[in-house]
Amino acid sequence: MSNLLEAAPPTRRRRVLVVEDDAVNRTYLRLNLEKWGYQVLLAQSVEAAQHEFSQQGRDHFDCVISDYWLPDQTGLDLLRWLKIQDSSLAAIMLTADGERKLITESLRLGAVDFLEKPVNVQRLQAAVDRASNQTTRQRHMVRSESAMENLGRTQRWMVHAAEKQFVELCFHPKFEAGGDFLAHFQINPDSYGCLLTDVSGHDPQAAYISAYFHGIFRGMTLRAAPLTNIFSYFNDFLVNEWNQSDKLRTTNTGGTSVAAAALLVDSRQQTLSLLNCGAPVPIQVLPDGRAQLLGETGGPPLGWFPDTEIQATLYPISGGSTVYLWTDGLADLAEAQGVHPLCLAMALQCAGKNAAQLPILRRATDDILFAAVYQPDAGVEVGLLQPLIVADYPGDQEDEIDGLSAGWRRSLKLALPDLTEAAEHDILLATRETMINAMKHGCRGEAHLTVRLQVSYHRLRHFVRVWVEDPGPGHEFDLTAKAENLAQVLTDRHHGLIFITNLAQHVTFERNGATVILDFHL
Amino acid sequence: MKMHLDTQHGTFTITLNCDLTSTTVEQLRPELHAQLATPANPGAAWKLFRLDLAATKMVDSVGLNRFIGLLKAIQQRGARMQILCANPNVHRTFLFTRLDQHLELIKL
Repeated sequence: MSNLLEAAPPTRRRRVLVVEDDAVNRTYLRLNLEKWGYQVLLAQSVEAAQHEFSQQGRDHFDCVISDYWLPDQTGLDLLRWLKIQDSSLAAIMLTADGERKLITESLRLGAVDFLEKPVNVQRLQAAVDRASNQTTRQRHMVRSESAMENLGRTQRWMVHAAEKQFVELCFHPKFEAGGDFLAHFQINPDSYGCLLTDVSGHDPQAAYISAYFHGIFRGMTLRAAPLTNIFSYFNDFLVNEWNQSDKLRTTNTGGTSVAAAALLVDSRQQTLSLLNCGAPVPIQVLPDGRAQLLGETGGPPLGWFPDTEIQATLYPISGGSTVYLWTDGLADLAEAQGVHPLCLAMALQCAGKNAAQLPILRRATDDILFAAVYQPDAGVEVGLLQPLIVADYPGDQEDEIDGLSAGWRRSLKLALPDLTEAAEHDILLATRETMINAMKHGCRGEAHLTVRLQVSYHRLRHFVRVWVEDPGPGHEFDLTAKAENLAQVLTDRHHGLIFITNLAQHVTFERNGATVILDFHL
Repeated sequence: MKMHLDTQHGTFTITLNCDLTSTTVEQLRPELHAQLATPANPGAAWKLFRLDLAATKMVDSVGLNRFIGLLKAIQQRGARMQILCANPNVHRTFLFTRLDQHLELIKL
């Protein structure tokens, strides 16, 4: 728990409610308790105790000491009633007969101790101290949990406030509140800003820093400050102020850091300005469904170095495109489970409010935030062809194809759990054939050349589209002639093409076959 | 991989307990060719070569190409070739590659 939320120690005298019908015992208890510094209120029956409790109010008493045998009801009846009124209040039960069943039931109802009469004074003092301390701890915990719940609720509301007509997101903080945050806001009728942040740590302090940065970002953006200035300003703040203060640190390692990716989109100029410091590389999907990585690596997060290179990049953008952003909680969980992050994101999106029930999400060790930011355009279906896999593979990985294929299978099964065995077979086998061909011929088996694989799913028309692009020149071929030849002659060549064209429902060859596009209807 | 020679009925059966792919076929090929080429194997004793792919779930093009090399060798011996498959995807693969026109394809 963060030191910022720790409660101050109690400054008042502790209060005990003593419920005892025997006058001698009552006095004996009162005198001892007062001697130890407790403020004591007395009751002779359950009804009187309930009246006293109701009069003083919840949280007034720190401990209740009750005899078991009382004139109207038993001490257990009182415990049962108190548990409903204030489950944090600890109680001590007194009785002349230490019956096991009675002890068990008392403990179940929240009694922290059970003392036999005649009461030993040392045992009484230890018991009442223990009970009062437990009440204090319980109340503090309830207050802290309540504060965390409030904070978490506020954060979820603020994040989901960004979820408007053109923003779709999944947000799963590891605890009630955390450092992942997303904001999306209109700057003027032609442009909007979007900021994704991931602050180190999963505590209220991380949520606070994240919200603070978002406030600065929004304010400076609306006053036309360049992205680089905003990020530089916040980096300076973290490095020179926040991380210099030992009191503000909650971790022992290097202070607070903030991975952040910001977008400024100008639909009139058709440009997207991106600044990424330490966040996973965002992806832009163009209206034709093809994905484009926006940058290479995110570089170090804010807060690490005073001289971090902070540089925005300008990309052309068109109506109907979508930018996908996520925090490394998604990437880390996907890697640990051997699946592609966008497939995990799809699974979370599909599960919606039931995502917390997904077994894979229970294994998350970090906050997870994923957002799809759509660039609207009249007449264009936005964001329907959702990317599931976007990855580059070195050309010398043909021998690793079984492992790669197993990863694609796991990913697709997670993203598309209803995929039939036949569809899964066809997609994986055709992808395998196309990838082997691209590595062998397009990359000539060389490690420095890469094959881009993209797999996307059309959310309305329910088909999977696979793109395989290699850097080679492709080659001329007559597919029909090859197919005819196979029927006549037993040959051990060219079956790869026949596989591809028969497994997919539709195949498009571009650049002499250096780009192959496969469609599979589900 | 299991191999079974039934000389009584003139059948040489090979049962594959894995997929027939670019990565598995390289491990299978030397053993298959050894079985076919070794004099200890009475090639003349079998007239039917049966490849049991009942446990196979996937056949890829490289696996198929290597297999066709085997098929040609068997044809040169004058023997027939029979393939048993249970998986509908594997069966379909032999159909669209037109191999069913060169051997006997039996779906279990």
